[in-house]
Amino acid sequence: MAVVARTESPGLSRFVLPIAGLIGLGLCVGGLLVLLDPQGGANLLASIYDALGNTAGATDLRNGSGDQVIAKLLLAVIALAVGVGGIWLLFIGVGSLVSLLQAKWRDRILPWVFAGPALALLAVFLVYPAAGTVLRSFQNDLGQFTLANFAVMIEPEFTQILRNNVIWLIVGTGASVVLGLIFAGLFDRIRRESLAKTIVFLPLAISLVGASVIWGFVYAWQPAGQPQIGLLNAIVVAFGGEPIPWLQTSPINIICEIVILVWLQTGFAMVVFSASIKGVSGEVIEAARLDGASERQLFVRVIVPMIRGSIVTVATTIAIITLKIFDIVYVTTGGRFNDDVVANRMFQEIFQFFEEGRASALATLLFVAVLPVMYINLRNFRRQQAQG
Amino acid sequence: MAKRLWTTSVLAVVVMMLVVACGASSTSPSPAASAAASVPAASAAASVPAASAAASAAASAKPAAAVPKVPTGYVELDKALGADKPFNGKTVSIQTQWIGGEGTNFAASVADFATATGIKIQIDSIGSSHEVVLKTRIDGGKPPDLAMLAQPTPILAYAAAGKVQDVAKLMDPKKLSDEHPATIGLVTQGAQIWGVPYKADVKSTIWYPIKAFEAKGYKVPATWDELIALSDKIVADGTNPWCVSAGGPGAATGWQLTDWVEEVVLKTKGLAYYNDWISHKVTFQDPGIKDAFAKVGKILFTDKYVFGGNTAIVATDQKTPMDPMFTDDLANPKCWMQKIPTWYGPDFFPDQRASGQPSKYIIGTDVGMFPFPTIDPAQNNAEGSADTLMVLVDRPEVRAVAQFLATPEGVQNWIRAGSAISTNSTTPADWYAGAYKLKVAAEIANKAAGIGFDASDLMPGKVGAGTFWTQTVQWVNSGGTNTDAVLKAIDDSWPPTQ
Amino acid sequence: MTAPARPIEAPQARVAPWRPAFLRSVPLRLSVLFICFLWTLPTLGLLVTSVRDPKNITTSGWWTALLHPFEANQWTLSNYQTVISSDGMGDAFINSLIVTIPSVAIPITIAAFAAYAFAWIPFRGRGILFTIVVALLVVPIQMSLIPILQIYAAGNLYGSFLGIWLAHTGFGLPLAIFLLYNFISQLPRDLFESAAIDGATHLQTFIRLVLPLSIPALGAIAIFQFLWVWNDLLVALVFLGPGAEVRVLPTALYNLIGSRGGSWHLLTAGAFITMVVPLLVFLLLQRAFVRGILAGSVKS
Repeated sequence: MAVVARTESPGLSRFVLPIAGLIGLGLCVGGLLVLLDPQGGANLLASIYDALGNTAGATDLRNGSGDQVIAKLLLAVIALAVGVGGIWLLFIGVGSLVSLLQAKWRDRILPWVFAGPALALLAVFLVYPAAGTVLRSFQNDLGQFTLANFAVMIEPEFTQILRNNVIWLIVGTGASVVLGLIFAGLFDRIRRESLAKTIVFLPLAISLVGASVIWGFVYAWQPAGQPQIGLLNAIVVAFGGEPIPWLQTSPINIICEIVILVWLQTGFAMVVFSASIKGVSGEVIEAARLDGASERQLFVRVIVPMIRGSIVTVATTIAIITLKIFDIVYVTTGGRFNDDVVANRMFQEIFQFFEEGRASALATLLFVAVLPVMYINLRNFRRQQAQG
Repeated sequence: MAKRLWTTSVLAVVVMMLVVACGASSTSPSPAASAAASVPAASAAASVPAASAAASAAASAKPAAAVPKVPTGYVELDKALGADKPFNGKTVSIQTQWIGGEGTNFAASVADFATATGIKIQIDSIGSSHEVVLKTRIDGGKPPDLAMLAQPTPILAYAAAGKVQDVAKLMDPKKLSDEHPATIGLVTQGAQIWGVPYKADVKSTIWYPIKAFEAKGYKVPATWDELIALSDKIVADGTNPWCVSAGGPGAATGWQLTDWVEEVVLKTKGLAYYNDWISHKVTFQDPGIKDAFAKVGKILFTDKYVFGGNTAIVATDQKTPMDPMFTDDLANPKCWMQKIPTWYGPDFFPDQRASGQPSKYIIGTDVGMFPFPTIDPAQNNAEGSADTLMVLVDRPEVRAVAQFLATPEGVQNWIRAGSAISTNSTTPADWYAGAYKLKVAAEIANKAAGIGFDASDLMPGKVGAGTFWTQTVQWVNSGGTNTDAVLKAIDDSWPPTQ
Repeated sequence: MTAPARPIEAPQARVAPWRPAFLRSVPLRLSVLFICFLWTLPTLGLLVTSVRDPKNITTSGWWTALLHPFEANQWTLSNYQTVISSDGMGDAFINSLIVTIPSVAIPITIAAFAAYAFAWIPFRGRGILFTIVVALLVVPIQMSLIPILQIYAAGNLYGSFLGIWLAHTGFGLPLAIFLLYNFISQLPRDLFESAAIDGATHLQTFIRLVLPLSIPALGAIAIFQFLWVWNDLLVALVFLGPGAEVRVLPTALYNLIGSRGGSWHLLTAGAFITMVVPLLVFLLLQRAFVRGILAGSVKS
């Protein structure tokens, strides 16, 4: 019976891993203590300098000058060691400990060991604020229960805001996913695939500030008769037309803003689809080829269904991004030209109108809006588990 | 392989940049005066050690330190300036929105004080994320010691939430109120004062090209009718009289339009009406406001008045509308007048924007400002705005800094740079002499029958930072055809009174 | 029958069994070229603008510079020089590195374990929990900042690098788990079945089987998280504070540019400089993509 490599005498050696894990854990706790102190890096380095006899350097560090860069780097190295190494040790140590248990307990506890740290962090950083937000949406400024905050949704501009978000959702997600698929499929078949993928991916590397500058240069408007500095208007004028203020004209401005999103997110979609496509089993494809499928039929009828899981994943991610789209609208028009969106409105409510209750109501609306997406994902998840 | 070569060369470029960057930063170990500066002892303007504002015995090259003379009338400030420097080494943090040129000027304003007292003033300049970061820090429990805000409304909102220190308890309230007569009322609620007014701006100014006016024989208009006549004349001569921007891009679009309306309201209906308008006793649909919109509309929408038409108003961002004025080095302006506050030039002149070097256009000779013309001769009011300091944490050294910023010396170095007006009424008038911008602003303020504070800064946030801006943008975008709908929309959005 | 102990091996790399039909048709090749051209156009505009004389930027379109490429005086590297040599830029660069690298490594590690559990360890409540994790993608960051800051203030984490690493980890986990789950769940089931038959524990399966096969996915997520953290401004401002010693690159650049907005020549140069490191990371990780991809579908 083939078994996993184990030495002949069980007993002590089974505990090696768990004990090593626990020792590592101890070291990590030490590292954590250093990390928790805002001056931790400097103090640690100062202690090292003291030990090495460089008292001048040590004093400098404690005063806030001197080799601060090295102190920071030290901190980062410790963080990596603790964060990555420590987590590993934790997982392996606890995992091994649990493996020593009886099968029944082991199978119950192990998943929580694996998923536990993630769930704990998520609970603190996302669930706790989200729950607080939902609660807040039902409270007025004095803490009493009220539904008045939701009145933000019956205001006249709100229908327009909702309409805009729906446009973002449908057009933005649809275009990014479709284009991502097409690019992934196309680039799969050319020689300079890496280069093409890099070009489509490049926009993601540009910060949102950079992206808004770039697209500012595409959509810029100058009065007729002045030299155009925006690319689109230069083309329009070259063909004899009048320059159009793209971002200030509703409803085309929404599409213009969505184009920016698609420009950014298609790279994301393409990267994920590309990796998935590469993982499609060769035998299936050969079989389809032998059946006489053309390349296009091959792609649409065979490959796409096989990467359905990735498509749902990418579509879900981008859909959620469009639901909470904020930066692009804020920077280009501030939502002033009939293109306001929920997240922008939420931002204004908190930081300009000082109305946290209403902003929380808008956030709660977002959470509700994501429920259908969740449902689709849950079904997909269950189906995947069933077929495997 | 090609790929390896490329990767290596890109790596090489990055390494080079890192070396340059590290090299550059190692030659300036302490953060210097541009952008956020924690101001230790030494800074350019502050090389004269001064325990009091005694004139330096050295040659006139070094100005006297911008530090008030003891006794100042404020307790902690006197202590701080004492010879024993009791607060030496303590840190006080202050968060502001000022970066770039303004940031440098503010840092210079506090530099002498920092030297004189040994207090380390840590300035956190945040730029346009200022409100977001400030609110987060305050609500999150880690506020800065002090914060500068351009509107009083947020200060009052924070005060209502109990996050602001009552300044009346931190310094002599009578002295503070007496020295800031025009502005202290905005942050006073009964016996409680929630802020220290710091720096003022005069908004009733119109920039114009002085020499070009002379060359064409245009006269600076003093009344509304003269302004319209001048505009017609310029149109007849073949160019557009007005450079107008709504103030964009992005979320800032709209503020200049509100300034236009406020200016006209002040000059047609007077201060009492204006204040009633702010408190909503006078609604937007009142005939007086509607009339103001009509007058503004005359400038914004009359054919050929605005360079680029009303599209330009919404599509031009706030830095560039005056660029056509500088055509051919101001010899052939394509637009002739821009209504915008005194801080505009020279930072936003096209050559200074491009090069970062001081502009070659001299304010006062090439480009200047004239006061917004009177409309109703009996209502010669001007519009102003102010930056106010909020105290968030109470410690003796924080009090000292706040008190310092309440004195004229708190803005002195900024005034010396020719770019600020103090809200303190005891500021010596000769400080403003010689700086053209400040002279013009001071004249406007002195000649005005009354000064109205920027209304949109005082209205509830939902209107003042919300619908008043967004609806006027819609109004301009539609060419002024939907005035009634716009006014009604703003009124409808006014939050129910609490 | 006692076969000798056989440790679990990672599957061997196999040459892809089918060759993609290289695009013969010219129209398709042209369309690929056209796509790449369109996509790069805005970035090209950024690049050209960043090397132009600032005076020209607001007066003429950037493509006009390309039409007269040999007028030497319109090109300049001074924009880059100004940005690179401005005060604190080098420190900001280093701070960005210090903030970003752990903020990428830690969430990926944690997410990998969690994704594996969701994919291949059956347990009660797995479906609901996973859906909640995905739903957390929608939580807007602005709503999380204040509550977390309150916790940090109480826990003395404000202004510390540890605080920001934890924050970025927390915010980045939903997407990382979601994407990793997507890949890990698509691995062939028989792989795991034969490992189970061999008596491997979940831990061993995960370390020796799943991780090597997931390298492309891990690389992809590393890139996305790197980009997000590297370009982030708000989270750093809020949790690290505005102080000069901890300022990151986007903040430093932003301060350089001026409060009432764009000096476009500096913005464009700055955008390019910020872009160099993520681009490098992407290129380096591309190789991981290629290698991992060749492993393709695997025989167990």
